[in-house]
Amino acid sequence: MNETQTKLPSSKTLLLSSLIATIIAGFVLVAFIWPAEYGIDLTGLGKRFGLIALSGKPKTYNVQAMAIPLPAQNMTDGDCPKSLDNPSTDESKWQNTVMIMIPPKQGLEYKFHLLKDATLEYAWDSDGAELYFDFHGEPKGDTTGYFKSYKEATDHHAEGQLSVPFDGSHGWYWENKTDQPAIVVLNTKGHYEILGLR
Amino acid sequence: MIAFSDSYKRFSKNILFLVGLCIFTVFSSELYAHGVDENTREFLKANQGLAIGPFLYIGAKHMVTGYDHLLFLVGVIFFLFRTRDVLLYASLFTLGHSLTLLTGVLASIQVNPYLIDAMIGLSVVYKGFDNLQGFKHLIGFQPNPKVAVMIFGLFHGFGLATKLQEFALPKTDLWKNLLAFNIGVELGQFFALTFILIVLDYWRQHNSFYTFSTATNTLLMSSGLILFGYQMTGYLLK
Repeated sequence: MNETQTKLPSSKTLLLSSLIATIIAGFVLVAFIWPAEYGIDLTGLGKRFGLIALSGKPKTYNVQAMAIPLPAQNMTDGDCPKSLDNPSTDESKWQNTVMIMIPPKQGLEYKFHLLKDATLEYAWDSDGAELYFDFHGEPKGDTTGYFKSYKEATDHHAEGQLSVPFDGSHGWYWENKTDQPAIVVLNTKGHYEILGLR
Repeated sequence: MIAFSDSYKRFSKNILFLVGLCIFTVFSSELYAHGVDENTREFLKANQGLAIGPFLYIGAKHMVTGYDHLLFLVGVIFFLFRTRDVLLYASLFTLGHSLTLLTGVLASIQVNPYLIDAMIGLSVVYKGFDNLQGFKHLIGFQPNPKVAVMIFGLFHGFGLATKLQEFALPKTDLWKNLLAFNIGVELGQFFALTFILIVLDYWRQHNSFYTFSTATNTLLMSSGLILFGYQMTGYLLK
């Protein structure tokens, strides 16, 4: 193909060229293209130069943890009329309903203050995603960081009733391990004071 | 004194040229990938029936802004000094990619876009390596470059085909639209080729062309490897 007298590169030059080409390609690929295109950041350079943001995998949702009180929900399923013989509808109503937004890859606490032996009745549902949760209580005035765990699991729903063993704040720690914001709707009933998000 | 000012002149000329080349490179890296941009996407989704003008334009734009095709062309004509040869190689490339573009779309031959784009990246590596006389060193002879450009043309054509197949184009007047796209591709190629040739011809009048020919082809190989790695990662992830 070379009709002209350009000097032929020697074997050494060829080897060196191929090596340099491979090294440059490998570096550019791993350091810049992987983070920017696929969100794979092995070198940390992608994060440093803000390339991760290009990868189309939103790492930061503009979502803040929040709790929005809703009108208390009815425990029974919606609109089916209650039998007049059983006028206990009042008891089946929740006292409070709150919608809690958990940003992706974050955890938060929602707490109530209850006195010893007071009862907390609860039921919560997430919008689908399974959440790690720890239902626990911390004694009032405790500074040691002690807490008692009542229930710890990973689920999208939990309900029950608890007679708390001591004065203090009681409630849930939820952790959203997914890439999407999660919404929890929590229904409660009992003699408590809402402390809210922690 | 005269010798000094002469070599200084040549030096500054070379520098000027290199700066120009850098600007050109930066400019081309600003261009779109070989993908299809948002407006074109909208058009292709909505379009029904015959649309010669738009398809001509999309084909031309795709070629002019497709750095994978451009890099390959640079590699192919890097050491082609005669217009006759440039025309011959460009025609072989055209023949190759038109064949697979047309049959690929009309016969709905499904090829994985990532794999085909990875192959196109390899074609750039091949040409850079070939320009460095790599095959003479490695296997003792150079595979026929005309056959090679034709075969790689086939892969580039499949690459073009996959971009259109994304859109499930309506069958009505498909072959006419496709032909328009193909002609657009050739117009774009002609335009790009002319531009590359002007730059190359100018460069060849300077010593830096010969000084940097090895470096340039090394860079070409590197770019091809980057494209290859980029597409293979995509293939493995998705």
